[in-house]
Amino acid sequence: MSAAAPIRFGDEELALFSAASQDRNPLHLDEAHARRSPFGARVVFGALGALAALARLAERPGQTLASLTVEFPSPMQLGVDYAVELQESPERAQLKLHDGKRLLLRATALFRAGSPRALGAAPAFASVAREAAALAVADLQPGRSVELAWTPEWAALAALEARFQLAPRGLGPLELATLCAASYVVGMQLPGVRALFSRAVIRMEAPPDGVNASPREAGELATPFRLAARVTGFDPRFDLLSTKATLADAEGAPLVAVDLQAFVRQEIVHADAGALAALLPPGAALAGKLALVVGASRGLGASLAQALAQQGATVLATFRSSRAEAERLVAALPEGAGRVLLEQGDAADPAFCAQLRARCQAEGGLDLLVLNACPPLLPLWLEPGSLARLQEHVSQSVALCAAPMSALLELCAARAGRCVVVSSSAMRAPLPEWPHYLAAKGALEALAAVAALEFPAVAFLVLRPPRLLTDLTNTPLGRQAAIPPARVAAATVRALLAPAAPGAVALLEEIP
Amino acid sequence: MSSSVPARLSSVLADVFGAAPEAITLETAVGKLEGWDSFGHLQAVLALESEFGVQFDPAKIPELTSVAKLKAYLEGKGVAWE
Repeated sequence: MSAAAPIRFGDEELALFSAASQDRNPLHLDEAHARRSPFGARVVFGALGALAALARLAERPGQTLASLTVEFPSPMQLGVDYAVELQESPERAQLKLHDGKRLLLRATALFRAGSPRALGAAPAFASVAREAAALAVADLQPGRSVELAWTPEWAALAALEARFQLAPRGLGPLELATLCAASYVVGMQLPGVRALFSRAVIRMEAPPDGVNASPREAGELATPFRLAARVTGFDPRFDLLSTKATLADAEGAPLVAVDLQAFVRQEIVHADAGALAALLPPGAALAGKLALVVGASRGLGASLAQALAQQGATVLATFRSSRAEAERLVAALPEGAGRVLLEQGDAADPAFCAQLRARCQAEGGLDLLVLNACPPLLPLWLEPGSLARLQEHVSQSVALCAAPMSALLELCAARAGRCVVVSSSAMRAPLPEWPHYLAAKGALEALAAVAALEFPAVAFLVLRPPRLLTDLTNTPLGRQAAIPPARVAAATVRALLAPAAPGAVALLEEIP
Repeated sequence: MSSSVPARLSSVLADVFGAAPEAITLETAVGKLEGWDSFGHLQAVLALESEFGVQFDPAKIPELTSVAKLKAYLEGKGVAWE
């Protein structure tokens, strides 16, 4: 076993891999899109992670890749140091990438005698669609297939090769192109934008013997490649898609067979007005009241904003980046509901909070302050390598609650209003791998307790919702036992409609 | 340990987690073996389904957090060890 310097991914590698592979899946490239994914931020292409790990192998003169199995148990992020662990024997290498205790990537490569195949003199380039397909579960039945002329973007591929020096390790242009093609199929075609790439098993065909196989020089690659991929299975229990892909040369001679596995993210319906109305009949109990919901575009915040509006409140709904979702929330308001007014900004920023304060004053005062915003969240262990991320998460969480509190509770107090702080059921039943999340939620509950002393005219409510079906939990296992946010929103608004003691902090844990 | 892990079971799990078959005991559990995280758990279920020709109930899967529990569940599905 050998260890090496850590691997860290940056924008430059992502851009290079995206150019080479023609994989433009926004989970890797578009911060706003990625914010709405279970990972909360852009993630590294799995195949790029594999290339970076393979680049750490010892040189293997006289060998070429025969097969590669690679799995992506956890997402790789940008700007984090990952440990690489290698176990090498003459014909086999095992590679792992770790984030402390967390396994991110595992690969097994088998090698055979030979050398990687060379490109023809002037490789052809085939440009493909730039937009990832958005296939939903219903579109992904076995037999669905795609077939196209495909190549990597050769200059970018050459730059990748220069960066990773893979040729002395038995991976030539075809092997690099294969990892690019695997990424392209999953990220752009089957299933495309909703993909969470989980596994690839790559088998390189042995090159043709002698000179008869092709009019070209033996072993040279004729391009553009023919790339074919076909859905072989879809497991609805886990939204798990299995695909077989093949890469052939321009003349149809098979080069590579790849088995691919990807999870398909489901579409999350934010603020389902019908579901909410069924749980809490619309009314006018909050007519004339002004509510401010911080973090209102998606998930629980959107449901809370909607539930308050359905009771007649005017709702100032803040969001940081998800404008489309925020606008959908407004569009979905049923007739007779209160107004929802959107305010885009960073609630951790005192200047934005001052702006919100002015807006509330212009509307005549604030009755209800709902503090729901939280930073992106990925699990991590309490260990030295994660300290910076833990502190960052707690610091952002506290700011997202304390900044609006400090700017707005005074207004709330003037109207003997209410303040809702969103915590988590994990405060009662802690979970491993969420030290940052629990530390942050503990801090928010503490802020509520102190704010209740400083603003005794305000009645506080701390929510401890169970696992909710939102963008954050939209993974095959995350979805298990998650409940719709509308249920928590309905229970919260019911609690807000009942009388409460000023200066006290009530806890809402039981969600019917 | 009162009984051992059937070879077919330990071999599938060792393969999924990249561990030595001897490292798989009845007490081996989620979080105690490298790679047996939520992703590994799902890969293990898929591999066991394919090896033993059974279908796991998705609602039960999160509860099957140790080798002993997996073994008992498979037995409940009619899997007999040689």
